Amino acid sequence: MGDSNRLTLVASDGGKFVVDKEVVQMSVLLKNMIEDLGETDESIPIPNVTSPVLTKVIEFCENHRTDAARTDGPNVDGDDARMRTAVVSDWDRQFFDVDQDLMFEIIVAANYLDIKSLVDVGCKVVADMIKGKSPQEIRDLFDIVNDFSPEEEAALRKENEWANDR
Amino acid sequence: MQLLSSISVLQSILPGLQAQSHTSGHTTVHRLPNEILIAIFKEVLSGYQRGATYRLDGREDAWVDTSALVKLTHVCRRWRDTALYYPPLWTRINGQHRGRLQAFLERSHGAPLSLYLHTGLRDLRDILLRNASRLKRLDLNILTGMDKTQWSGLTTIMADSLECFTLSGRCFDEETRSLTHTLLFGRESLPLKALAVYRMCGWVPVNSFPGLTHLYIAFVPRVAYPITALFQVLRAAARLQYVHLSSVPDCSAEKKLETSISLPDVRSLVITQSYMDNAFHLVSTLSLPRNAYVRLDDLDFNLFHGLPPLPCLPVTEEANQLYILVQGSFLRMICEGPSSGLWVQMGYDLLNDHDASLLDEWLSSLPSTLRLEQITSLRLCTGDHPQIFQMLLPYLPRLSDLRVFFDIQYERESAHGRTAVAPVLYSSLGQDTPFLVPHLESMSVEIECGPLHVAPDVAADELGCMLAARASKGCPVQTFTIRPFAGCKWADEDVFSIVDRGLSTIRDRHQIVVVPPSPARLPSYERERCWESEEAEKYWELSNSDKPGVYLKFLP
Repeated sequence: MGDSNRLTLVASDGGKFVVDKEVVQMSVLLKNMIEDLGETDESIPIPNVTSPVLTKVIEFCENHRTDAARTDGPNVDGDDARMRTAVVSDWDRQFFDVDQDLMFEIIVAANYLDIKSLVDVGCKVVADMIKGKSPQEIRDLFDIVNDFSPEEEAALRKENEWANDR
Repeated sequence: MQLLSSISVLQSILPGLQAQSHTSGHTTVHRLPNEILIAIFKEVLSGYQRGATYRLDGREDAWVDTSALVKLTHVCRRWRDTALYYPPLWTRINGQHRGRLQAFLERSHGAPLSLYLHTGLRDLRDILLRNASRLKRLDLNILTGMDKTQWSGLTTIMADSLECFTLSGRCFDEETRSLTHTLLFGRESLPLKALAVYRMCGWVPVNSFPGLTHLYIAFVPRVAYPITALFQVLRAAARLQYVHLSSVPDCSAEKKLETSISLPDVRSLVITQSYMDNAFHLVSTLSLPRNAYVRLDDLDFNLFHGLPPLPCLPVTEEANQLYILVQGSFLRMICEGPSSGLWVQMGYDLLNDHDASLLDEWLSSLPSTLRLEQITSLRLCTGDHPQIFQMLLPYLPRLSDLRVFFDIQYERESAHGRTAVAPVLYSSLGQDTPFLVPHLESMSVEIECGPLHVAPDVAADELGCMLAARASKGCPVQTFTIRPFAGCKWADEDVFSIVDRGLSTIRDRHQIVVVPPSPARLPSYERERCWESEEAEKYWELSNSDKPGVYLKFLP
């Protein structure tokens, strides 16, 4: 038998990560799996997450393992209240100071693993990038193609008539 | 024909889709699931909206910036579809523009609505009538005055799901002449949870509010309003928990009610910016629970009428801490228990040009209205009312911790007919009969010497006698701390030395700690969290003038 307080996660590309169970339990998905499996030496495969992304996710969980406000589910006031109260710390901002591909991979992985605090911080970071920008600036920022037809574009322009009116 | 049209649309978007798929080899924003995209949208919008509440005062911030949301829907088709098929994004509407109102109503599908109107009801009444059943919150800011059409509009809108209704505006002369009785939203019994009326005059709702928990009414200062109308609203809302009233109208003409108004669930009652007589009269007509917080703040008193005595309130029954700041004709008194409290602030004159006897007389009546037996901690900022010790100390049998703050300017004036504070305090505590506060263990005196750098007379002889007398009776003061400080940094050291030397004659017999000056200034008194409940602001934000202030200064 190995250390009962640690377990091994296997990324989609085969990378293995030995981590504390306490850290891993920030993920609701993994927490439920551990409870279902009981005491076991078996590795847990994470098929949707690559090694670089899993490295970052574990880094986040280790840094936030002692957070008193850690939530495994929606709090009593619901998700909106949780989002509003979540503060992006300097460490979190630094954590997300990565290229966009990796940033979105982390958010997708956090969503898959059900790590709410990481999802919240990721959404806040992306939202901060969007705030104050025009639709074209947002497209440029995230490499999004304008796929509206000319007729739809005309309809959008019409919306602007009332959108900006006080 | 329809098929050709569909093909045409598909062809028009094909290049965009191809481009999108070209980038899909990377992990881009396109891979985010819809629920994450929605969470990001909400976060973007939160920067432009003030949560779920509005401030009643002013209302400028109630305006909802819809442009931020619309911009998100103009980025690409997926973002647009995601936003359009998520109704909650479209439920908070600023309804001045008919086109926008229509669009939001459609996009919010059947979801409950939160609607803010600042042009009254006339122009949009037809739309409101059609969607009234979806209204969860309605905020009306009437800038043009209420006329019969507007009032009847409020009667005919059948908003059965409405939880929160706020009405604010300006009061016009013609509205002050008579009282309009309105049956809000066409139902006698209204399931509202929150009702706020800000500076609207001449109006009273005649509904019953069996589920109302939050009530805010700001009356118009100096505009007459029959207090019976307010009683009527309070009687109709027996489940109130958070009540905030300002500029409470004159009720001197009203007879005393035969039966009090029972509000058994109240957690917080606040009356601000009112005459003391009116506030006290209103509070005395209410039957309140013991575990509530009552704040009577920013009260004025009419010197021609004298100061009415404080009514007896159950919220002081469990009080174990008492804070009093009295100076000039200003008083702040906070009486706190484990889950209840009374806060009274009145007067505005911090200067020295008043007749202190009025307030002294009022203070002397406190023991007959406040339950002081359980008080263990007393903090006093005495100003020029040294008689307060003799008024209060005989009624504090369990007092164990006493902190006193006084200002040297009042000490210096003792030569001109005033009584210096320190000798009065020490002689009260040292007297034989009656022997006061037998459980006193800890005492702290803070003396502010003022910017003139005049060191206080520390009344060393009286202090020494008091400490000796209490020790001889087996009730010694275990710790006595004195902290002198000046109004300016450069004088602190000097003042400390003078006080330290002044106490040297009695130091060999008594344990006295003189706190040396430190770079940290005396911190402001921090009010307990209990006076500011987040729950009280569940439906609206209170302005700073509606919130409790800070004034007392004491060592932490």
